Amino acid sequence: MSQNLQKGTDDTILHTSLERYQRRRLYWTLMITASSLGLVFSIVFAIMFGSAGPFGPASTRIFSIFDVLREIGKNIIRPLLEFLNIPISGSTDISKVIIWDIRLPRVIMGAFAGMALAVAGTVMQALFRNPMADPYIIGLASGASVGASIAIVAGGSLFFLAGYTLPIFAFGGALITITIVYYISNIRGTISVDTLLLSGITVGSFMTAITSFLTYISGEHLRPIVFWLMGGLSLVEGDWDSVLIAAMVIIPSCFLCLLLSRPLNLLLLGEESAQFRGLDVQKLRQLLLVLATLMTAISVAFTGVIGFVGLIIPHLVRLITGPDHRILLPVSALSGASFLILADVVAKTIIYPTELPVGIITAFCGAPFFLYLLRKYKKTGY
Amino acid sequence: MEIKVEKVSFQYEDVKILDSITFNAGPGQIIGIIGPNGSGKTTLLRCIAGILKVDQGSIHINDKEITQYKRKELARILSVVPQISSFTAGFTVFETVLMGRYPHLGVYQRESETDYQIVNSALERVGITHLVNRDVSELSGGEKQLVTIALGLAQDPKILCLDEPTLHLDINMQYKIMELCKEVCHTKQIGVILVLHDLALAAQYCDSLIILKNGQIRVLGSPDDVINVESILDAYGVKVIVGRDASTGLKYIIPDLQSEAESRSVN
Repeated sequence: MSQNLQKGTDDTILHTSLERYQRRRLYWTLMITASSLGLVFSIVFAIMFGSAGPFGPASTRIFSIFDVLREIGKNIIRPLLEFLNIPISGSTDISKVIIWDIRLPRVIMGAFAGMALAVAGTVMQALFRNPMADPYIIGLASGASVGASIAIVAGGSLFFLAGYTLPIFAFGGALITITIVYYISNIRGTISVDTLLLSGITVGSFMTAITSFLTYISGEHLRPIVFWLMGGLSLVEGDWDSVLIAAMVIIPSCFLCLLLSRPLNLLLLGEESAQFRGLDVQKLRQLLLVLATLMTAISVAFTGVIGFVGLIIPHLVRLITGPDHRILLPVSALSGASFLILADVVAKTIIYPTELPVGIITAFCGAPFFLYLLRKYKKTGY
Repeated sequence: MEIKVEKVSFQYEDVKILDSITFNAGPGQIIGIIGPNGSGKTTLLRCIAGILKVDQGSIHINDKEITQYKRKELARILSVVPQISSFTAGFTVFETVLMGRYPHLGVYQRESETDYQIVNSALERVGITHLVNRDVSELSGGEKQLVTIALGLAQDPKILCLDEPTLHLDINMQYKIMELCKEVCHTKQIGVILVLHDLALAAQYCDSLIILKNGQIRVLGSPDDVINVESILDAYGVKVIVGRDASTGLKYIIPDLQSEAESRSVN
C-alpha cells in the first residue's frame, strides 16, 4: 500500500521534471528571439549613430531611421529584384553611400568578430574547464600580433597581397603560433589540457617578446602597431570584401560549434566520464581547437586584438541561460555580436572626433559590469 | 553479450600495471575484482572500456575486438561508472542523467519518449527520484555517487562496470546498490563487473571473484574458493579471520590482530 503511494509520488515528480525539461525549449526560443532582436536593434542603432544620422546636429542630419531601414532592406532584396529583372529606383544618393557602403560593413564586421570571440571563448572555457579561459588563452593573439607588427614595420604592402598584407600576416602569425603550440603539446597522439595551456602561455610570451622588440624599433610605426594591438573596427570601414571573407570562416565555424553542443555538455562531466559515455574526447578537442582558432584568427586579422569579449560574454550569458551549451552557445554568439557593435559606437563617439580603439571600451565598460554581476549573482564557482 | 579478456598486459612507461590478465564475463553474472590499492583494478576497467590501449593480448566483446568498435558504438553496449565524476553547477539531476543517452542519439536527434522512460527508470532503480530537480553540484558525496550510477544505467548497457560503487555510501545505501546490481544483472540479463574493496560485500554478491595483485590474477573462482585466510594474506599481507554468520550463512572477514601481533613478536 505505502509502496504504491511511494510509486505514485515518484511518477508525479518524474512527470513534473520531464515537463519542466520540455518547457525549457520555450524559454530557449524566447532567449534566442530576444537576443536576435537585440542584435538587430544594435545594428540599426550603430548605423544611426554619427553626425549624419538622426541623432546628429540638425545642420548635418542627412538621414532618418526610415532611411536606414529602407537602405538595408533595399540592398538585401536587390539581388532578388535584379534576378527577377525588376527595375530598381536609382539610389546613389549620399545616405545610401553612408549607410550601405561606409557604415554597414564596419557594423557587420563588429557583429561577426563579437560572435566569433564569444563562441570561441565559450568553447575554450568548456575545453579547458577553466573560467579564466578566453579565445587567446593559447597564444593566438601574441602570434597574430607578431604577424601584424612585421607587416606594419615592413611598411606598405607586398605587391601580390595588396591591401590584405596586414590581415594575411596577422592570420598567418596566429595559425603558425597555434600550430607550434599544438605540436609541442601533442604527446604520442594525445593532447593534455595542462600541457596545451602551459605551452600556449610560454609560446605566447615568446611571441610577445618579438612584438615588443618590433614595437621598440618601429619608430614612426609605433602608433599603428599600438592601435592594432588594442583592436578596432575602423580598419574595415567601407570594406565589404573583408567582411565577406571573415563571414565565410566565422559562420561555418560557429555553426559547427553549435552542432557540438551536446558533446561540449558531456565534457563538463570530466574527461574520463565523458569517454565512458562514448565521447571521443581527443577528436572533439582537436576539432574544437581548430574551429575556435580559425574564427578567432580571422577576426583578429581584420580587427586587431579585441580583448575581454571572449572572456565576459560567455560568463554573462551563462548567468542567464545556465551552462547547457545548446542555449549558451547561440545566445553567446548573438550577445557577443551586439556587445561589440555597441562598444564600437562608444569607441567612435566618446571623445569625438578622435576614435578610441574598441578594445579599450570593451575592457573599460565590461570589467566593472562583470565584477558587479559576479558579486551579485554568482553563487557557485565556474 | 560476452566479454573475453585474453592475456591482457598494460604498462605506463616501463612500469607494468597489468600482466597477462585473462577472464570471461557473461550475461546475468556478477564478477567482482578485488585486490590491494594499486593492484591495477581501475586500469583494467579503463582497458575494458577501450580508453587505454592494451600493450599485449586482446579484449573481445561479442567476438569483435574492442579496438574495432567506434567509441559511441562501444558505449551503447558497455558502460563504466567511474569513482569520481565532476558535476557542473547549473545542471539538474535529470539533465545530468539524460546525458547518459548520448551514445544512443544522433547529432541532430532530440531525446525521444523512450529516452525519457529509460532515464526515469534509471532514476527509480537508484532511488533518487526525489532529487531530480536539484542542482547536481549541491548534492552530497553519496548522492553524487548515486547520480553517477544512474548515469551509467541510463546508457542502457549490456555490460555494466562499476568502479567501487559503494564508495562514499552509508551501510544502508551500500546494500541497496549491491541489491540493485544484482537485480539489474538478473532482470536485464547483463554482465556486471564490479571493483570492490569490501570483501564481505564481494563475497556475498558476486558470482565469481578475481583477486588482483601487482597486475596479476592471483586467484579466480567462486567467492567460497577465493575468500579464505591464505588468499587474503597473500594478496593484502594481512592475517584475517574468515567466518560465517550462524543465522544467514554469510561470510565475514575481520583482521586477526592478535595473531598478527604474536607473529610480530616471534619475529
